[in-house]
Amino acid sequence: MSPKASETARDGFVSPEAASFRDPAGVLAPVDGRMIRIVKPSGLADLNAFLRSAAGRRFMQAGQVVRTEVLDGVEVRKLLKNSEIGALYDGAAGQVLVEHERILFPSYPYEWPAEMLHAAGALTLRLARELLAEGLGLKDATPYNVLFRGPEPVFVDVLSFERRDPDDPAWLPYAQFVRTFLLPLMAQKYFGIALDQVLSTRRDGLEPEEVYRWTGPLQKLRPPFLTLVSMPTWLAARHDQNDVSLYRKRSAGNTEKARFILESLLKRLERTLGRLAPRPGARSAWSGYMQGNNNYSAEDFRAKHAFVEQVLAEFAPKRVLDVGSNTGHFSALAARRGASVVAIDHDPVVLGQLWREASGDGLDILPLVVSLTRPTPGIGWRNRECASFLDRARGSFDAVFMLAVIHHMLVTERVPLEEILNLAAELTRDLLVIEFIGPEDSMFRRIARGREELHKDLTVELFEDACRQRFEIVRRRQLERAPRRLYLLRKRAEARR
Amino acid sequence: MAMNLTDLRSTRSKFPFEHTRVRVPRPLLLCVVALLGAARQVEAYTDPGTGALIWQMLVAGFVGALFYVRRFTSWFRTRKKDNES
Repeated sequence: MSPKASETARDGFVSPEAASFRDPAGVLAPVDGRMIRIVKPSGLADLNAFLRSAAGRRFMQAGQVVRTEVLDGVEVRKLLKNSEIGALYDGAAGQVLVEHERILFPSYPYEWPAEMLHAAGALTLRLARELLAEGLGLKDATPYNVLFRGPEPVFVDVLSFERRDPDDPAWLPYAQFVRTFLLPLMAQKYFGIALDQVLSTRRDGLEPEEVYRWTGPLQKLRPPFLTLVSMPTWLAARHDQNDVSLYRKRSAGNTEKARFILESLLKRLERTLGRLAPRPGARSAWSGYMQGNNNYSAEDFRAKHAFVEQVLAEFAPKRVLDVGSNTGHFSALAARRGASVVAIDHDPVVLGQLWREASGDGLDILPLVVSLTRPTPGIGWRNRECASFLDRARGSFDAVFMLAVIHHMLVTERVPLEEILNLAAELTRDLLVIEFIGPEDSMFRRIARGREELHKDLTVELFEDACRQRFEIVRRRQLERAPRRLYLLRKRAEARR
Repeated sequence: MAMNLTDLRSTRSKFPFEHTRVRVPRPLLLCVVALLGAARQVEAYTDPGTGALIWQMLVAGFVGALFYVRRFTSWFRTRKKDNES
């Protein structure tokens, strides 16, 4: 990857040549950590109409649409002087520069637990409905228009807004909303297909025809399958594919009637989205872990809790990555101390639970379904449309937590210890809180399943030597009952640079 | 195959939708059954949104008619109220 691409990927959105290339109305480019968007004349009137609307201002004030400011001449000249944005900007052609608030950690729908896709869908529909009253609408309805600030969805693609023909009763993004929000949620809820399985390979979601093949004969006739899957499948089959008259502009001949039809459609979609909401209290292999499916005694867990608390109190890291977070006990500790936390785990069910808690308690935690041993790759055009997890995460955190997780990487995934520590050193700018779990540990033995021979050399001494390659050991604490040790490591000065 | 009347009735009572707790009117069910099996393999150049768009338009037609019904009933109610007062 070129230095430019990796730099822009780290900055959040993607580089001008990758990120927003599909949109004819503008280009997004990060400049020195600031999110700058060039708006072309074709997109300007629509954007201004949104920025001036009462609903637009309301959503931006509430932080549900990314805060956006049109830059004045002085600011534009300053920006053009020292950045590559000059090559893309042509003020004479009527282009305008706007600046967006920066969302700390961009994430993509295939990394979200179902709860987050649901929240993004609810925001999209609410925007469409409230903007309708002011003659505005959405050009598209895809989860890629939404990022998360902590657990809260933020609509970031301000060029998606448009002035509507008030007599038009059709919502063109309807099918896209169904494909990218409703059908993936349906696949997750009724067929147990995780979102990453569907969305990492399909940019445009699931087609009704695809879900139709999975449904049983009676299911086909039952709502919500009947209206979202079966009807569109049957109707498309009977439609002459050369007949493009379907796409002509429509008019209800009456503004009030058009609005009545659209409002009813959006309300129906909201109801359907509600039906497809994931249930709280879902279970998975990992959902009972904190309630006792672990080998910590109460005292050991208290000691571990106190160890992490002390690190947070002493160093006050601003940005934390919690690897293998489960339901986020330690993420919440960090967030309560003012850190902005990214919590990753491979189990979407526990992360859904974490999202509910973070969202309910207003904790700055972004839960993402990512396994550090198989992290999200770069996806899309040139593999650069959506940056890989590591490209977004590298050097982005003041502290990385690897609590009760390295035995899974060592044993189940067979990643060498040095490699785990090398990656940790790439992710953190400063601290690593890591738990050593020896081969004599009952959980270690359980997952080793008779392959203990492979790990017989793994001792505390070997672990500490490996840590010292890149880190200094600040302190350690042996737990009383379990053969586990907690370490606070600091990146060596030469590695920090 | 031997099957007495009770068996037949019990099969019938299970159909349609008794155990799904969804009540669907018979005529609608017949229309839907007539459409069943009409799913076609998606081919090149098929727009994945076609079916959904047609469905949206069909429902829009129905809701559009409902709009006039609503308008008429609210007009009727206000007229009745005016007459009463």
